[in-house]
Amino acid sequence: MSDDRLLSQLGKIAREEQEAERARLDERWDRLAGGELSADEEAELRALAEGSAAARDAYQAFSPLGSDFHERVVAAIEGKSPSAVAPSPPPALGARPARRRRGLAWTASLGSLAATLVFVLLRFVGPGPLPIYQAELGGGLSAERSGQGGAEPRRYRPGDPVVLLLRAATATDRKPALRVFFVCRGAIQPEPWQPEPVRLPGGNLEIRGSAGLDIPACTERLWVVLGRPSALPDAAVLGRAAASGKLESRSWRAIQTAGLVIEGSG
Amino acid sequence: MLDTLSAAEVQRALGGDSTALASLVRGLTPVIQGRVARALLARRSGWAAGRSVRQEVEDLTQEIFLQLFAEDGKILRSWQPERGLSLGGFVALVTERQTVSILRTGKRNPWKEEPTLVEDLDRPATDGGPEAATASREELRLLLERLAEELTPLGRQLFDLLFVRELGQEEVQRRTGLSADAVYAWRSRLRRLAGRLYGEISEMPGEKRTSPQGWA
Repeated sequence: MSDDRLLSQLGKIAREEQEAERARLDERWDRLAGGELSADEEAELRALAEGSAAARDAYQAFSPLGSDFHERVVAAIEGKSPSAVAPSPPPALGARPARRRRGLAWTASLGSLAATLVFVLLRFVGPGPLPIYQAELGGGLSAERSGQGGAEPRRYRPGDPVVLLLRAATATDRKPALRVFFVCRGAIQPEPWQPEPVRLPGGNLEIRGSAGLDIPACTERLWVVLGRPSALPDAAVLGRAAASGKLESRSWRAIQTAGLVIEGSG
Repeated sequence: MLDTLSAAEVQRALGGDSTALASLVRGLTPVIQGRVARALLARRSGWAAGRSVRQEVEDLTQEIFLQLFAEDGKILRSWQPERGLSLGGFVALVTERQTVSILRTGKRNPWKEEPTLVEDLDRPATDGGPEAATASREELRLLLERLAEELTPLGRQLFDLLFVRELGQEEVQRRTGLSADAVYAWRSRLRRLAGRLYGEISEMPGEKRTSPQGWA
């Protein structure tokens, strides 16, 4: 067996690593990806996710990829433009190939984005003006698919990806700092989410989170504030600005998204 | 669902049947996603740290799908159910291998042509020598990762059966449908490959170990 000594050592290491992996992430996580968990098991994993950053990452990583994802993959395999399977691809991004490989998921998902929101002219004080941004929600179940009208809130199941696109009307190389605030039961929550947006071609910004994890289950809509990192408002300032309708200052601007519902949140 | 997918249905998907393709994608997604997620989470502190893990999982899962179907489905067509691997098991091995490669190098890593069995059998078996016994755990981990990158799904399956599960020769033959000579050739091939990779790792900058004779 001396010929096989190195391979035997490798086999031993492989066994030990497999056992460690199983102890860390047991087979329930795989069944989460397959949508095969019982309600109790899913509740257990969600409780784990709420208790540690590592489990939260795992919950996001293993939460099932939905039918939108399947459609995009099929389209990509068949060599179709991702936009071919999307209801109405935004031309500004659909024609750009730069994120085609890594960002195929994104360009395709634009087609399922709920048309929403508010246009805000961002006359940002800084090295150059920020363009007009449009905020759009994606992921989850579109209003059409859930059998609702276009004015209905976008619906998500716990664990669904929530995609927020801040689409620049004109190309820009700016990447402002931003915060996302949650509106629950009509009130802006004090603790903001500070995701790291991905800058897309043309200066569009993409934010991704998970319904029920990054986005609290009680969330009814989002506020996004963009601007200087040191000058972004807190919830109280944003609340006063929203109440007065003055959604811009010298150093930041705010955009409100359309409504959303995370199912099962009561 | 994956259990119900037959080789014929895979062929239909590869032949352009959109319904079969959609079914295959739905069935394989959890398998690929799970393996990608495990690989990503294990390397979270390095590669792609700071990015959304969800986005990385989606991107890499899609990338694996594209690799499975690239070049007229070359990789998927190489699945041989008679070798004992289910479609899910086969795709899981492909995913592990491709994900490791992408995460380590940022590139796809197509399989190299395998030597024929005759070539394997004609070469003398080599001994690991004492260096193998003293290889550090870190070296072995690195070597294991490199080995996973190099092996085809069948090679990975043979490594798993022979050296991870330590099954006997006859059981390996029974599970894979391979002849005794073929299993022997795979032992030799795996030994030689491990030796070569071990030599390469030992010669990497910063390593003081000399390349063990007879392994490459």
